[in-house]
Amino acid sequence: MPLNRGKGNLILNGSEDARLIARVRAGEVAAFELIVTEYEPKLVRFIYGLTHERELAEDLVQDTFVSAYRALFSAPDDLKLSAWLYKIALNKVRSEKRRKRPVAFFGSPSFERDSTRPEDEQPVLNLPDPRSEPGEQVVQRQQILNTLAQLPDDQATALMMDAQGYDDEEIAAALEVSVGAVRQKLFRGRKAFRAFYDK
Amino acid sequence: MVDDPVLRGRVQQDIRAALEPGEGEFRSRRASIMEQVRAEAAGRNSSASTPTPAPISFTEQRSARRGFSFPGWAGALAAGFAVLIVAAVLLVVLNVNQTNSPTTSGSGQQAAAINNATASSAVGNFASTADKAATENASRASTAEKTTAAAGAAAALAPTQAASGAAPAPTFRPGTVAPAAAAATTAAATTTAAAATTVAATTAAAATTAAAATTAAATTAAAAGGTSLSQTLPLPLYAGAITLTLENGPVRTFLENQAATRLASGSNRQERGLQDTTIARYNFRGSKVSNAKLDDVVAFYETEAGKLNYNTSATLLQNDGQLRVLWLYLIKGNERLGVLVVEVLDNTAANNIAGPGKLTKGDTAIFFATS
Repeated sequence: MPLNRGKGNLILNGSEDARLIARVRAGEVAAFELIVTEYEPKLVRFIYGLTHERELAEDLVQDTFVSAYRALFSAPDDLKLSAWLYKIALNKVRSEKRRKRPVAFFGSPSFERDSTRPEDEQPVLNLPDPRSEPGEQVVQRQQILNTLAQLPDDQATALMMDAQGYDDEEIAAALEVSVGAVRQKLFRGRKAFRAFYDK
Repeated sequence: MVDDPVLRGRVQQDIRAALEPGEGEFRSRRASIMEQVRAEAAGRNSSASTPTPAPISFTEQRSARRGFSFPGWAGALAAGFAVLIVAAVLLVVLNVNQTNSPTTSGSGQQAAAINNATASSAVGNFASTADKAATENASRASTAEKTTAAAGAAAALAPTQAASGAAPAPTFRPGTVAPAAAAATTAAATTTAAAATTVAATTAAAATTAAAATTAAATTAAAAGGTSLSQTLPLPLYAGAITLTLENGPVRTFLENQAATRLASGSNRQERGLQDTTIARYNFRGSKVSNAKLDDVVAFYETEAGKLNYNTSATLLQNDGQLRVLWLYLIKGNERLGVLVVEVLDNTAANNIAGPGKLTKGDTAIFFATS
């Protein structure tokens, strides 16, 4: 089944969500495979952005889809698949984080984030500017990931979903907050990046 | 809060670039995911015509049984009731005694009269035996205390029983207080009255303790009456499951083989509590249920684990014509618990799971792995 594209990314719209869910519920496993095909690349990147561990991201995305399949049969009919899948994925990441505590969750040894603290109390970014040494793309990528890692996970989620082309309503649904709260999270997240860029 | 479009674009671009995989990164798990999903779907379809068993939780059973025992407040209430009955009986005795013997008055003296009624018959008319009578009085008061305490304990189980137990306590014969024992009666009265007071206090305490003891006893009895499998497990037994007598060896080997076959990655196995070193530490307890689908059993335990706030991961280890094997790994804080569910579809592989003769086609085995 061809999928509509929205906001420059492959994103299923509401009516396609409903049709796919109905087909899955009717026992059509292939319909679920369409969902996996569509969302696996995004979710694995999203989870990787929160965990910095490739294999763990792959494991968690697998868990996410299996859990989603089980829950799909009792989920509401007007389910917004993208937000729902991101929500499940975020919960998987949080569960993993709780499980691994007090061991540092993120790979970076300099990582000192405490996502249990309110957003306002998170440490200010203090990273060297990777652009001062052009060509070190790997370092720059790591710096961006570190910047994300220092944000509370809901801010990081909002930024990553925004970067993946989701609109504020979808991010709000995934985070189970208001659209206004999403905009605030995006604003604060970008502010942290500005501090990083301005260094 | 003004959004800077340039900053927004730059952040989006940088994040997209940072999350973009390099060469060889992010292997798709689509095949594995779909394999698991197909197994889920197959189980769902096959179980659609099978009525889901009523999940009778062992925990619930225990709770229900516990409901028949008396909580602390009920024990205290029963104790108070018992004390009231004792007091009422004493008052009746007092009235009767006042009618028959003008030498006794007051509840303490009445209590002394009660005891001295017996004492007088033992010591006869010798005043020199007054001390002896007093001693005996004290002894009897002590006995009465024990009796009343016991009655209080009994009251925790059944107030009416306590009442009937307390009522016969004053087995005196009214009007038989001998004049020779009158001196001893006065001396003993104080002791007996004090003892009577102690009786009341002790009764309440004993009843409360008895209530707690009764609860514990009821729980123990309930556990003893049921299966011992879940006594130390947080999860309930599946409805209709019967306990398997197991040795760890065969199940451990079976799980090791399953994990080695299915999960090649060390981190995968670690995440799921399926490393060889971890499996080697597991103690297994098992049960089996006939004609239950793996999916129903798994769904039941996932639900129960969710109720207890466990984080659960499910790993399908085997799904073919012989066996369907799924490993649930439950985590809560530092607590780890594995639940291995095996549906036997063919007798060929049945003996390799828990040892010869333990399982057969149509059985679904549930093994709890703890370390």
